[in-house]
Amino acid sequence: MATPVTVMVVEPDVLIRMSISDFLRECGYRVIEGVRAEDVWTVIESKVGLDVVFAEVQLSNEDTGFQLANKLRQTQPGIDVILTSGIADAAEKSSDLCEQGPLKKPYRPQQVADRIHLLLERRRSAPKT
Amino acid sequence: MVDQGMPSAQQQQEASKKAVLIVEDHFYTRWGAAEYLRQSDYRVFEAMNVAEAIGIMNSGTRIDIVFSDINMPGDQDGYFLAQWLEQKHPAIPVLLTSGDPRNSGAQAPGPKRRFIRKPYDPVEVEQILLSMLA
Repeated sequence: MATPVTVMVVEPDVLIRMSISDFLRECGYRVIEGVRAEDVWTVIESKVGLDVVFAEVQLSNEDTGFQLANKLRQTQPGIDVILTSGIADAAEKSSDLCEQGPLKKPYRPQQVADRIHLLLERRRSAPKT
Repeated sequence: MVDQGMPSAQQQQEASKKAVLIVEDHFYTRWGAAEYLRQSDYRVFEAMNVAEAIGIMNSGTRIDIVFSDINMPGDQDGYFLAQWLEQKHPAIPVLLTSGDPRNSGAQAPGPKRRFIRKPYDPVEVEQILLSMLA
């Protein structure tokens, strides 16, 4: 089997990261999960072959997805960079990516977004202790 | 995606796998363990600290076993997570790990708790997880 297309999802919120990653795996992608810009460089240095970086714009107080995207576009022209801002945007763009993916699942962005909102709501309403 | 309408054959197959939650702050270690376990046909969830792990547990995601580092940044360590799981999810076995020689897992005793020292062989991790899930 050919090496699967490899996407790195960089997203500080664990439930959003988990949902998007899970979804993209269902679409046939190999997905690597990260939280910070430096995680992307660790993967690039490992030379596993990264095809797409799917990153939230708001990574942390110091990092932004824009800085990461700029640096990637300058130094890694073979890597597609997709920036997202918020859940609806991430759902939309991951659905687009899925349509181009190996398994071409016909998911609507709303299904992806709904799933994320459900998980976030459960986390929010879980007892705090 | 599993609870959205009719599950596809692929989703059903995914749902039948054992789900492991890996809790590890060191990116490379977490990535390596996650990839290995996915290739060994586990459904793998990744958390980089205890807060993320608890977030995943509270989201209602089905987790069958937890594989957690002990020392991690944040207010809580792997021992805290093991205790939290003991209270909230007592059926879930926990495999703890650490590279710190002061940790031996002794602070998390019991039949559903085991310890493996870092650096670990992923093959051995898989064998332990399998035995704990049996």
